[in-house]
Amino acid sequence: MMVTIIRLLYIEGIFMQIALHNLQRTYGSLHAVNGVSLFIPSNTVYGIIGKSGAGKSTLVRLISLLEKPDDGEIYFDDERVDELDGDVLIERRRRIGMIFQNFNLFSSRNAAQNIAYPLEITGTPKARIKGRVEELLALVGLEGRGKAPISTLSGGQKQRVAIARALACNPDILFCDEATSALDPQTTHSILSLIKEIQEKMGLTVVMITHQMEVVRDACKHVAVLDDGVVAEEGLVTDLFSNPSSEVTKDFLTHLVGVDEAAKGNNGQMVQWSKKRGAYTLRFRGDTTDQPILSMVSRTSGVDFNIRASGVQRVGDVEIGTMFVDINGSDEQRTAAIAQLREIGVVVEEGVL
Amino acid sequence: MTAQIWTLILNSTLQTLAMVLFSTLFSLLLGLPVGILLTVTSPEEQGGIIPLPLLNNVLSRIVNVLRSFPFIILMILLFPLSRLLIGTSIGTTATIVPLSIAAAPFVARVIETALKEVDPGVVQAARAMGSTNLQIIGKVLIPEALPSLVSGVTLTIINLIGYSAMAGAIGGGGLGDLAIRYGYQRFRGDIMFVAVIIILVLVEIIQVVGNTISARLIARR
Repeated sequence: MMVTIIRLLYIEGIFMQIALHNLQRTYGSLHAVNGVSLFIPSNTVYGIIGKSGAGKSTLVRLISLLEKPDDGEIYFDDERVDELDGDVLIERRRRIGMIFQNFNLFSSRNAAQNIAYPLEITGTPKARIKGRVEELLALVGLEGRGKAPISTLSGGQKQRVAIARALACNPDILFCDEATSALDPQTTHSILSLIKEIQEKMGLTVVMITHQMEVVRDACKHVAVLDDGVVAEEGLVTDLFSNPSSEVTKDFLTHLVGVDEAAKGNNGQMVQWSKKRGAYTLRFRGDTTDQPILSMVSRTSGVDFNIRASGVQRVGDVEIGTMFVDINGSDEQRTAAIAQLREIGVVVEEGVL
Repeated sequence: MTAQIWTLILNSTLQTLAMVLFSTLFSLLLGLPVGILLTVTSPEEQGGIIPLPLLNNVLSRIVNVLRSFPFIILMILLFPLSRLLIGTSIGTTATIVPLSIAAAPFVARVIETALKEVDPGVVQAARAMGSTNLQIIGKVLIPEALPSLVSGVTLTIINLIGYSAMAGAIGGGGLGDLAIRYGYQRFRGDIMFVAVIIILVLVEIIQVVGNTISARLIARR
């Protein structure tokens, strides 16, 4: 059944690189992953976001073939991979790249030797290893640093070495498990740019597991929001930002736009006008962020808007505005105003998380 | 002290060195695989890459039982084995058998402790890259744990110097034997003194060399 669907999609040209079907994984009485089905298209950066305990780590261990699901299926292209064992499993793992929050580099090896490791275990001849390592060091912007002991490298450089190591055997998939969570914002930005650049260059399928909405916003095209071991919401990042449907996504977005910061009086990305957060959340997308919508609606419906906080952020190529407002007026006026806003394409939510 | 006595002391020192050297080698030969087995068969949460609870438990029990034997008793119990392997139960060569067997469980624990210190994340990364279990042991666990392993071996050698002196009490030869037969039984305090000083110096040298190697290995990282 699954295979048929995947084949069909393949014929239509929407090739599914990774398909998860109803994955289950239980530890004792804990349902860490409780029926996750996802299609991760090839040649893209796909985000999986969730809070700690949402099942991210388990999910990544399942799809990186480090652990077997209790139930469900995993397909890479149209090959079922969750049941692989022995040499075939090891062979398949060698075509997966993986980077981690704590880098997990070998402290007994220098940068070049770390990058050489996957080549060594696959029996690459010494002479070829040397050239390939040089190539990879250049790819991640660490030319000439091959001899550096790992402890002398900064966090960003360590993650670069880890990326080079992950790419050594020309993988078709790259898993990033909280890869930027231990890095400062600038370094996070440069690592994300590097990953995006490499993704495009090599046509990789990149899966980013994270708890940071900024990472999803800045690097991913698609995203799945994981909550309590299930997929709460899934789709294009731009859609999710402009029109989130699940509570957990809204919660992530609220933290992202810096409401918390604003409420504390710190100027985050939001401009804060009032201590209170307002009764409604408005989300604007794309060209609606350039129009004088509020005054238009205010004039025609007779309501008054009290803007409490607002801001605009860039998600991929799209600008998304968020605004926390009170809408003052009679019930009919308010209903009319909200209807009008929605007609224009503004997402109106009651309350602010 | 006469030249004859000094020759005696020199011979005893060489005997001790031979006992310690060979029993270190053999105890490593016996203990290293057990230590590795104890590590890799431990539960997954403890970093085991091939969790085998039953084998792990049995091995662990055997190691504990052997370790809790007082060395002198173990040595007497192992006389028949020495006789079987070497042909005699007295003398330096014969003593290497019980020394090696007595130190092996200690070595196993030392190796296990060192290997378990390796960051589980690093082992996970190696697995994710498609390493075989042997590659994880040989190319990740052992190199990553090398400074701790060196410290462990240093500790083993020092312990074996102590054990070898005890072995002297039951006809094992070496500096311990010298100290007891000449120093204690013939009231030659000066010989006892020299024997103890030599043992002390040996321990000190081993400790310093071990520490230096371990520190160098860490500094290179």
